[in-house]
Amino acid sequence: MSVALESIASAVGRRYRALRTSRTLATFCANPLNVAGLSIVTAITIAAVIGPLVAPYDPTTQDLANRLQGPSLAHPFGTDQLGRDMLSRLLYGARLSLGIAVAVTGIRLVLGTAIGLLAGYAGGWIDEALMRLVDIQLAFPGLVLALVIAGILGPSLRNVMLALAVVGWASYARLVRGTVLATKERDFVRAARLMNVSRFRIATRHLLPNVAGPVVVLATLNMGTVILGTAGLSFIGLGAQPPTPEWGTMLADGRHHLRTAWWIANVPGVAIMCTVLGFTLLGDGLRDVLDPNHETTLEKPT
Amino acid sequence: MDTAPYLVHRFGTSLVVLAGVSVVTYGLLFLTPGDPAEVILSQQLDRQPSEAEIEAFRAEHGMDEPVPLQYADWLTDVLRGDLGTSYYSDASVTGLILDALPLTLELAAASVVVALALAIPTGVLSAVHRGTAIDRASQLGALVGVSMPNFWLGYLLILVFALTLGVLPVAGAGSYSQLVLPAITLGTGMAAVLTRLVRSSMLDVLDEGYLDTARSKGLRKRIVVYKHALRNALVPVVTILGVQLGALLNGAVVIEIVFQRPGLGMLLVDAVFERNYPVVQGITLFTAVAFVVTNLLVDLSYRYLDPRVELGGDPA
Amino acid sequence: MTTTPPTLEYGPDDAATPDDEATNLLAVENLQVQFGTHDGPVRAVDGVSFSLEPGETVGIVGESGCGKSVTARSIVGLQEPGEVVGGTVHIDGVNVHEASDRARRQLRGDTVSMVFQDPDQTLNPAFDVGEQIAESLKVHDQPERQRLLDYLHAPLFANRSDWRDHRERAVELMDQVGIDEPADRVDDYPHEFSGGMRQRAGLAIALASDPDLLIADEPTTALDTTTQAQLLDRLRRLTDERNMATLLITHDLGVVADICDRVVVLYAGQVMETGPTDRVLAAPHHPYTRALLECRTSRAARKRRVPTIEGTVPERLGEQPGCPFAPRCPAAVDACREGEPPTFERDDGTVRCREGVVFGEPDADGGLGLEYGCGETQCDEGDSSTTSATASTRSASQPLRTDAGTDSLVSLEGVSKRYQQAGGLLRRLLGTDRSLQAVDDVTLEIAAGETLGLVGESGSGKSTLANLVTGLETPTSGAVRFDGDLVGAAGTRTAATLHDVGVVFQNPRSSLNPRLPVAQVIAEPLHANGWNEQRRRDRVSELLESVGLSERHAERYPHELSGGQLQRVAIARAIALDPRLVVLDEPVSALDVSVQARILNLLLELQRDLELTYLLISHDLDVVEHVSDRVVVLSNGEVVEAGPTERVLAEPSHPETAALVEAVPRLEHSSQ
Repeated sequence: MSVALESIASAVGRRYRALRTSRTLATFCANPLNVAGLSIVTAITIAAVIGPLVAPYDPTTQDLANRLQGPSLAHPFGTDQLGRDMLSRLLYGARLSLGIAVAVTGIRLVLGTAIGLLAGYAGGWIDEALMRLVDIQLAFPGLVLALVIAGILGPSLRNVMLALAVVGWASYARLVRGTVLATKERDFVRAARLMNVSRFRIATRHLLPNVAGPVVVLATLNMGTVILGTAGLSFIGLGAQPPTPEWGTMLADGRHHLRTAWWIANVPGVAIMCTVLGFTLLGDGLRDVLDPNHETTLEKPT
Repeated sequence: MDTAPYLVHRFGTSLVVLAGVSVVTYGLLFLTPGDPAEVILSQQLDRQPSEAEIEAFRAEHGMDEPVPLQYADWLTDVLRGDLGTSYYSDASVTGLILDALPLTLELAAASVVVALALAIPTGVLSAVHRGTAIDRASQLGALVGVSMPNFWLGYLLILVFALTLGVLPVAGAGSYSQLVLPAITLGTGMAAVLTRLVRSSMLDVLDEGYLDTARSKGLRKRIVVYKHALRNALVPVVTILGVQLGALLNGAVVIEIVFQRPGLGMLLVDAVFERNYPVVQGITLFTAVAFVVTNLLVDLSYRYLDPRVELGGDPA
Repeated sequence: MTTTPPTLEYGPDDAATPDDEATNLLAVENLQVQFGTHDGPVRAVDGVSFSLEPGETVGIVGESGCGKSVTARSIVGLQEPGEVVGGTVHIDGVNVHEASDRARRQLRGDTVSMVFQDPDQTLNPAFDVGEQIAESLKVHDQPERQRLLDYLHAPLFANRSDWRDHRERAVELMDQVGIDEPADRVDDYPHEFSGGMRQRAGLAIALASDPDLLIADEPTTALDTTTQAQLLDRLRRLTDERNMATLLITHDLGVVADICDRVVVLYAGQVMETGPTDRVLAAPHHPYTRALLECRTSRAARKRRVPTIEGTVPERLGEQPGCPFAPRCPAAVDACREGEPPTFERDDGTVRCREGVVFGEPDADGGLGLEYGCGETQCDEGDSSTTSATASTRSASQPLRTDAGTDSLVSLEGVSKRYQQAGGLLRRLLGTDRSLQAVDDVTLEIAAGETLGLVGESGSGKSTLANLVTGLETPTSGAVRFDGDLVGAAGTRTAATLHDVGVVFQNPRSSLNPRLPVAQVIAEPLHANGWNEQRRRDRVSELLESVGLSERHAERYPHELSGGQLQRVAIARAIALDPRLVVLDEPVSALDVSVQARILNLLLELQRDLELTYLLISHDLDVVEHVSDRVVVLSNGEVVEAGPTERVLAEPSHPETAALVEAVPRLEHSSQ
């Protein structure tokens, strides 16, 4: 018992000291942009969680008497063409955008990592077959395929989510496989093989921790691109259907009132941009810390 | 490693990928919730079709055959250049694509020019003046560009240049003045990604020992940067240009909607909403094939960019 | 190979007097260079002064991290990201750091050239070799007419005939630096050159401007010994022919002995000692110089402890009073730690040491009555452990040799290894596979208790052979036997066989998982073997002690340890399960000289205490000579010579062995 406690205490101590002494935290905090990214992401997350509680109005209640009102004390971001409060819609939209981004990124990550690990670790024909599958997925421009899939399945947010998840896993698979192959050849893994360490233990103790860094970075950057993708598909009309307060749909609504009510299009525009900016900054910061070899690359889907 | 076996290998895998692409493209049809024939007909006729009408539709479009046979028929036609006929206008899909293609190509080409003209100088300056105000400003600009939804940027440009200043047309296609705003919208987004890439690639290269060799020769800074460094820094940039073509096609779809340009993207979106499957399949297949072929060409051009790349060779 | 004793008159090196500047080709005065870090500025070069006269060759020596390279780079104005915060560098009377860009370019194009260390980094991979040499020639000819479009070979803007002429001259230069068939190689890209060839091309670029001063920053460190010897020879000839002054930066005293007239010994960014090479190497005045000389393995008796320098080169952060070497100096007194050491000027050089007042002549066996590191514990941090303390007291008097047994522990019977060059299915179908013969019909035995040294140039198949013994690779044909039993790939070996073989890899940074603390790294084989937590913990403490690390290190992560400490951890892991054979794949070549000696001492102690058998792979003949009982020489995958160490290295019978032995730069050349 005391031994167990002691070992837990020492493990905690070790982690704490590692965090304190390691340059990781210092490196991350040294760049104010990284801190800014973390702050934005934290703020958006808080907005998504408590937004609906603090929103002053119902996001779907129409108030035609007050339509197209400019920003005022009652409506800080104005009202839209149906008199709905933009601020409330924005707050509800944050939950929607972030939720979809988390779900899509989660599916991509799990699917892609599993396939990449399998391909990299098994090798041989399994690797060959899985990599051709990856090639096929990557042969389609992502948003074009997502658009077609979402369109055929029928316009809805759920279908947009499915479509985006299906077209994004391949980059994870490729990244994970590459890192696994590189790590597998490193001396410490060779040493472990010579010490009779089991394959499972090698995979979990030596390969996964070294693969995790680049994957976390990719996922963070991906959050931003998924948000852009969702907004783009909704903008085209395939995603959220009225009156759902989705940022892309809101922006599309604003296009008819560009001159008379600039806030309808620009408020969600700024919201999308800030969110994506936050995740991009955070991803850049994490990359400096977790993935110094820059194995993840940046792509932009929309 | 000789080039010939590599070429054979590379073409071989590309063929495998293209075969997979065709299967996926054809399979898209079966994602339709319910019976495709019924769904399509009810949309076409705008009412619930009768059993007889559905049967007739199936027969007309070969949908009564077993699926593998349908696919084989479709593929045979595709290989002959026949992508089928639109459900609505009886126009050939190949013809529709060829009509819309120039507008999209024009947009893509103009965007690439805008992107490179912005990204290379900005990225190089940013890297050379690392940590200075120039660097910070261009990094921030690039970050904003990466994060901005391009349809929003499009509307902002329309608001400023078309609606407020009135110097450029709001939308449409055909004249150069109508190309300016869409190309800037799409090009700046791409420039943002490329600027970040040029900068980081340049920073890596600026640390290389061979630049010390170049400096110690007594070369001017300008020659060290634009001859010795840039040449090496551009290798990853060209690589990513191939991938960026995908992003360009993605972007073109949205931008064509924003600016009402009747290019491939708009054709695709309209077809998706009308469930005009032959057109949807045709465009999907076309873009994927274009994408695969471009990336193949980019791969093959490596050798000329980076003499270290032994095509298909394994690092000994 | 003899170096003529210097005939020039050397004035005092403290070049503060202004009239020196007029005659000196290079005058470095009180140079100070700092690097900004998280913890504040680090003083990499801290008041270095020396000078060079036309035609002479001066070596700058010191351990890595002592400021040699920064000094060299500062001379040509390439100190960035470091910053020159004090002192001056004059070349031909021009102050390098105050000169305009234009004047500095003129200097680089005319007067001073530099050769860099890393052959993979010297040449631009995007341009062919001829172009890069031609460029240097062009700059020299027309330093002020550098138009970008001309250099980019833009059509209409470039002067084609001019470039053609320069290219022809580039071929001549390639010939001079010893590149065979230069006319054919001029169009090759750097990746088509070997490391040695690239360094030659780098030399050609440097020589293209016909400089008065050549600065060579560890030009041969990354090359194997044979290539190193050829390149040094060429360098010596060219500098003699052209009467060029050379500043050679190196950590290898053998190289210095070979070609330098004078030596500047650098430590922690300060000049410790200067003087003629012969005198400094034969009768060093500064304790640091003596320590450097002592820890060369070639000086120590075989299988005996090598004297070592305690500690590591300190990072000079902030104000630190006293002599920087004091913490590691056996002769240090309180005054050394408190006040700046005085600089004594002798008629043939300077010494910066308090001890300078009491210099005597060395006694008969070359020592000065001071012992370095002997009888001390060898941990980088100065931790003491009883085993190594007792071991080392004994070591001073008796060799650490175990009697080589006669039973063979490992035997290879006609072992060959061919590699299929990887290719896809299609290439396999096309039959375009090619194979590479890495090991060719090797038969050898390793007797229990002996140390077998495996030597050969890089690419000779040493590492592949080691992998065949450990089971990381399987032979294409032939048999590997361990203790009489046929063994195959690691995955097919029994647990018992796996326990019996331990491995230490070359680079401890890559052989330890960066995400696990030391204790868990060492415990890994124990865990794999089903030991429970308590047993594991006890064994780990025991192992830490026997490799000279303390309990404090157990909870550290690899990035918190030095290279030498990491290699100790790797050794502890290798011996965790009491193996009978330990395969040492270049165990010290990634380490600094002073650390090397300590690791070799540890290996010798462990061998004696645990009755280990070693298979030692090394390209460093000094190391092999010091540790091995028998030597096997590999060339192109074949055994060309085998036998007792003394015999093989003293009277090599195969030309390949002779070439390897001949190529080692040795101090003895100059002291004989």
